[in-house]
This record gives sequence, structure tokens and C-alpha cells, in this order.
Amino acid sequence: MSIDFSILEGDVSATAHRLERVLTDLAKDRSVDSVVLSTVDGLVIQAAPAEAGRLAAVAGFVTAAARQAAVLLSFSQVEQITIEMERDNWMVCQLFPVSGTQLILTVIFTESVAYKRLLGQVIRELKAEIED
Amino acid sequence: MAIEGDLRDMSLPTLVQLVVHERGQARIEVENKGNKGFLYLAEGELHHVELHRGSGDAVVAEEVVYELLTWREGAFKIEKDVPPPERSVAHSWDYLVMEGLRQLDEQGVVDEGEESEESLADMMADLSPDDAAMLQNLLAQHSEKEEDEMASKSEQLKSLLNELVNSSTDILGAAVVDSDGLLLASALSGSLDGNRVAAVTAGLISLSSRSAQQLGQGGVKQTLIQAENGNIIAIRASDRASFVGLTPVGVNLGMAFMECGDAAAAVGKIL
Repeated sequence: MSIDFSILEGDVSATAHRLERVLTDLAKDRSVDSVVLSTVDGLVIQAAPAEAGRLAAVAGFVTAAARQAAVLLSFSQVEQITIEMERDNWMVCQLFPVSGTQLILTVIFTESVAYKRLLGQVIRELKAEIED
Repeated sequence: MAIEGDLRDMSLPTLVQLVVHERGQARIEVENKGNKGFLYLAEGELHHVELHRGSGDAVVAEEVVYELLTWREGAFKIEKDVPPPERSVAHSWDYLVMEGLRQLDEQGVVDEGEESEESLADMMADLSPDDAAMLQNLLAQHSEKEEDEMASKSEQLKSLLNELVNSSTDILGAAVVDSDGLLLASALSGSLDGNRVAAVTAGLISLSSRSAQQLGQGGVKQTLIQAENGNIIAIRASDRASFVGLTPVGVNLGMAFMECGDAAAAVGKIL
């Protein structure tokens, strides 16, 4: 698994641990299977469970295609991608900027839930931990 | 009384056509290299077909006809007033002949595993002028029917999409695309090019599907992309086609999803 800590500043190790805590808390939600924070290139920054490297790569892959589609249709910047899969799991990729860099928070939900507020809260926490 | 003869003198399509024309009950028995086929006709239609390979059990399936059509030599026997034991054939004889010939043409072989390789053209050349003319006529009718069906489906899809876009305040544009990126129908505003929408969304759906497979999640049911200036909703409508809806930002996404889901189901029914 490739871990990209280049956007983290200061005490990288401490920040990484704090990000891990935020994601682990999210992964405790009974509707969440796995969660990963990654760059748009598909490089993992932090994940819960830790072996979610494949999810980061897939998120980067899908995001690139969605961005291309949005540009070609003049829809500008992609903010979120939601995919309902055959086995009734949902993959949500939420893009957000931190310190001038786009990151992706990707969550696999095992059921259809109202995730907007949940993801909004987690992203605020992640931003605070990275920018602190 | 039975009529007997050789398949080299009278092909199976001609034999069936004779019985169909009389509209009576009859059993046609054909024999080729130790295998036997039985076709039961009644009221001008093929009701039942069986294939006996050597001394093995009988295969009862309408697809057996495709193999029987490849038999160019062997004996035949027509027995009148033999009722069909059951109704196991759903399609018309014309359809089965057309489908059989189409499959032979696609495969480029008459009998898999055997040496003979004949295209449809070669097969036509082997038939008597009357048989060839009859088959050509059936082929032309089949082709026309297929074109008419496609035109009708395309019109139905266009009508469905136009109705959706005109009646919905949430859907700006809609399209139906096949998995190869071909536009099947669209109702889009002037600034959007249908072919571009088709190519872009088909690529997106394909990548989403591959991603889901990578995650061990099977295929994809639907994809939503929320962008700064609009949303793209793609929903699988059938094995080979997807519905795509475009919405402005700030719409009620739940309502838009419901409308797109209904439209995708209707598209699936048309296709």
C-alpha cells in the first residue's frame, strides 16, 4: 500500500495517528464497511481498516473518469460520486480541498443511509487535523 | 401412407413448407449418420421437435432445429395424421429457419467439429432454385421486420425521454446509451451533443463497473456524479444499455433519482 504523507505538515506521525482515529471512529458506524482518505491519484493517506489500499486506487480511478465526464459536459468540478453496487453496497467518494490539494474521502456503506451530514462532520474533523 | 425420399432431393425447409401449406397434422422423420430427427406439425405450425443421437436419449428443444437444418443428406419420411405428443416449440418455423441460418452464417461453419465449412451463400447455392428463392424471401422479410422493430424501439425511447424532460423540473436532459457508447436515443438541450454524452457516460459506467468488480461487489446498479454545475445520474436499464439523466444543481436528488429510476425501468421494458 502506498502512503502519501506529503500534504501533512509538522509532526507527520502525530497527524497520521489523529487521522487514523477519525477514520476508525467512522468505520465503527454499523453502516460503514471501510473508509479511506486518499489523494486524487489514488495514493492512500490513511485507511480503516488498514488494508483499504485497493479502495483508494479504485476511488482515484473512478474520480478521474468522473472529472473527465464533468468537464466534457461543462459541469465543472466534481464534488461527490456515489455508486450503488450489485451487492447492495454503496461507494461514496467525497472530494474536498485541504491546503490547496484535492483529497478524496471514500466510504463503503453496507446499506442506504443519509450520509451527507455524517461525511460533512468527518471532513471537517479531517481538515482540522491536517491544517492544525 | 408415408412419403419417403432423400434429403439431397428435397431439403428439410421444403418438406416443412409442404406440410405447413397443407395445415394438417404430420410427423417428419429425418435420418443422418445414425441420428434421427422428428418434427411434429399441426395447424400449419411446428409443435414439437426431437433429436435422437444414435441410441441415446431424445433431446427435446426447439434449438434442435438448427442442427437438423444442417443435414443435407440422409433419408426423410413424412407420415400424415400423426399428432404432436406435446407443444415444445414456441417460435414459428420461419423464425427458426432464419435464426438457424443466421447462426450458421455467423459461425461460418455448417456443422461444428466436421470438415465441411459453408457460408450462408454457399448453402443457398446448394439449394434448388425454388428453395433458394423461398429462403431469400424469408430472409428479406426477417431483415425488414428487424429494421422495423429497431425503428419502433427508437421512436418509443425518444418519446419516453422527451416526455420525461418536458414534464420534469429536475431533469435537464436524458439519453439512453449502449455499453459500446452508442447513442440509442436522447432528449438534450441544444448545447449538449448526444454522441458526446453517450461516449462519456458509457465510459464512466464501464469504469464504475470495473471498479465494483475490483472491490468484489459484482456490477453497478447506478452512479451519481455531483459536480459544481450539475449532476449526472446513470442507471442500468438492461444488460447492454443504460439510462442517463442530467440535472441542474440544487434539485431534489431523491425526486430526480425516482424519476430516473422509473425511466430506466421503462427503457428496459422497451429494449
